[in-house]
Amino acid sequence: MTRTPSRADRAWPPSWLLVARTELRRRLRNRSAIVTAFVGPVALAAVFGVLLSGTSSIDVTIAVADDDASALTSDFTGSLVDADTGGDPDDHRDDPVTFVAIDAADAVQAVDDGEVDAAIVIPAGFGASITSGGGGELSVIRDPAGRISGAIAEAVAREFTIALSSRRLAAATAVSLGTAVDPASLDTFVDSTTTAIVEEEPGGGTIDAAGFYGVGMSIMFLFFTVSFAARSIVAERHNGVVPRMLASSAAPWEVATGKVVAVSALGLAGFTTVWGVTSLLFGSSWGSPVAVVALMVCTVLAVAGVATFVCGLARTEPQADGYTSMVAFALALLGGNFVGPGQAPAALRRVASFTPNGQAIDAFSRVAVDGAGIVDVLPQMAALLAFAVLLGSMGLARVTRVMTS
Amino acid sequence: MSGTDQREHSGAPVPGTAPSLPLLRCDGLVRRFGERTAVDGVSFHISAGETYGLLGPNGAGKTTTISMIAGILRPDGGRVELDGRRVDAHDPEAKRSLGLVPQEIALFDDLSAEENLRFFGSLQGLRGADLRARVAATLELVGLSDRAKDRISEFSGGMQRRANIAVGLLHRPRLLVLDEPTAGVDPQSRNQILESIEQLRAEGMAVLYTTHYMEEAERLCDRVGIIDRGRIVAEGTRRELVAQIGEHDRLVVRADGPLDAFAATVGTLAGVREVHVGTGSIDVVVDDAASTLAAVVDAATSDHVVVTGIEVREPNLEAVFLHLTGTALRDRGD
Repeated sequence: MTRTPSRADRAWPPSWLLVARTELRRRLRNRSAIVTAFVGPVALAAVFGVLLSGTSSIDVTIAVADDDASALTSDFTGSLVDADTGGDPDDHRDDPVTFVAIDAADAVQAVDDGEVDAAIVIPAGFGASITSGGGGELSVIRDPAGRISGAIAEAVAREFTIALSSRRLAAATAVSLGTAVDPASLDTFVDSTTTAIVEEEPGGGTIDAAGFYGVGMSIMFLFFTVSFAARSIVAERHNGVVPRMLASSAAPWEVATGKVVAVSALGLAGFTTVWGVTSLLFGSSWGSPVAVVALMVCTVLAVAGVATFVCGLARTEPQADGYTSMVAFALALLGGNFVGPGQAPAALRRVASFTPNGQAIDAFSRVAVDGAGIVDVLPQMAALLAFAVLLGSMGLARVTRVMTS
Repeated sequence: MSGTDQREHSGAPVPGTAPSLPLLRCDGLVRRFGERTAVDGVSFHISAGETYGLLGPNGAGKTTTISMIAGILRPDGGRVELDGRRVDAHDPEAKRSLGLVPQEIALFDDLSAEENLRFFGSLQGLRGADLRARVAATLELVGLSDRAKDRISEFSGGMQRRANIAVGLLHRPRLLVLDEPTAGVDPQSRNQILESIEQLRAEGMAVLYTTHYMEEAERLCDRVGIIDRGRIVAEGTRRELVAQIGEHDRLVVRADGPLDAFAATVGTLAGVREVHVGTGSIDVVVDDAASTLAAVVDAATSDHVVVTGIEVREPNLEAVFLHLTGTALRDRGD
């Protein structure tokens, strides 16, 4: 009557996949999967979409230092600064980007001190050089941690150079045709082009608040979703199911891995739902789909690593709940989930780079704002995978010890 | 429990199963939790086809011992060998020779009985048609075929217990380990469970059965190990354990007639140790009540004594436990 299956019999699926499959089946059966992967994320996306759609949470101050003070550059600086100070002040209260005039000598210090987020410096002689047909060079001073403000300043400077090139091209064309050039018409052309710079989206992407907070809150939501693994393991240790799995051929790490894989799949589904809802219903652009999917997977793995680590610390369900909440909120605060784009103080930006969610938010922002592709965010993806491997392996080792002790 | 329906097993393997090396061998198992030593040098063995009872109160170390045998807990000392393979090294092959039925209802209550069996069967390496056939056969064995598709949460307590046992049996282990499988079960379901175990025993499956119910140990087990405070304080068949503490069977014969002459005759019978004459009865201390009973009845007939009733009193494991530990088992049980 006895038959002992050989190893070959159980090669596929492995125990961890059997555990994961059963965990998903149970969560679909009791509908918690529906809530976790769809209802919750849809509600999350809807709240941020309805409340924040069409608004921008960018609040960036860029200084413009015109050392040249030529007619050419005055047109440019004047159009930027006057646009922010002229007319009814109420019209500018919600402007996401503010331009202020500054002396070139003070520009670096102002950025260092955080008085402004970035500065554009037009050197003396710039206008003369351009007018004489030579080249010119603008300087953009940016805080390395203030990526969004730097991107905006660079975009503005770039558009100014494009406008100058257009003017030079128009003038050269008119001269070559033997036509008298009316300077006023060129000014109008330049003004209209320059004005258009401010209204264009910086970097070619969109950083609307719904999308930004959608990412941040999705990661937060992910922490709680993935923490279900910890609670599940603790509960099933006490009701005898985990010991029974261990008494069969499943190893402790396989049980833990199966649980984490199952809830990570749900977390990924939830993340994707937020992406879909904010994109399709509220017009957010998260950037390159390939990069977004890759980042989502890396983020889920990193959060799963954190959750596995937390799981290893908990011996009771209340402990699992408490530890998860504590870690999720602490990381959310430190990682910048609650701070709008470009608004985090420099110290917080530095701290955020040491958190998985900080790395994830930075990478998602790059993809959305800078139009970065998957190659551009490889460092962030590597950091996220490092979090996943380091914390996940420590967590699994701890879980294994707890399960057999 | 005292009565004539008690079974006494020889401790030898069931006919048809060849005597062999022990199927399970535990040598000097030790397990500590902090400062407390839960299991302190436990050693015993179980042969193929044998039912071994681990009898002791709650907290005696039964479940900890079982957890080490099942490879769930790592022993701090000693070793477990199952079918010649060391279990505590997390050897999956060794574990597949063992079926565990935990004390708790260790099932997913939001899955059906069939789904639970399929999952745990898969973990044991069963696949495809073999798995399906075994799930069906095992549900049939425990009387749950007609409820296979129902969720465990919809089962009565007794049905949940039977489903719990079914998971342990599914892969046809050589050794079935049951940890207090009748705890909190109604009498009807309890009897069904005990009958199932008796059937498995009859089929030659070795069983390790922990309980703090002496009557279950006496009914099911070939040999019993009495465990107290992490140590096995006595081991053997019921008769051997009783003999260890100097207790004997008693026959109380109620009769009309010349009781003194009857007592004198009975006193000469083989296996009779003492005879006391009471009012309307004699009290006979014997080595083995079952084998002496017929001779006593014959003596009554020859002495013209009319027997009106016979009561067989066999010293039970409760008496053994009381003698060995100084406390009654039930005083320290639930």
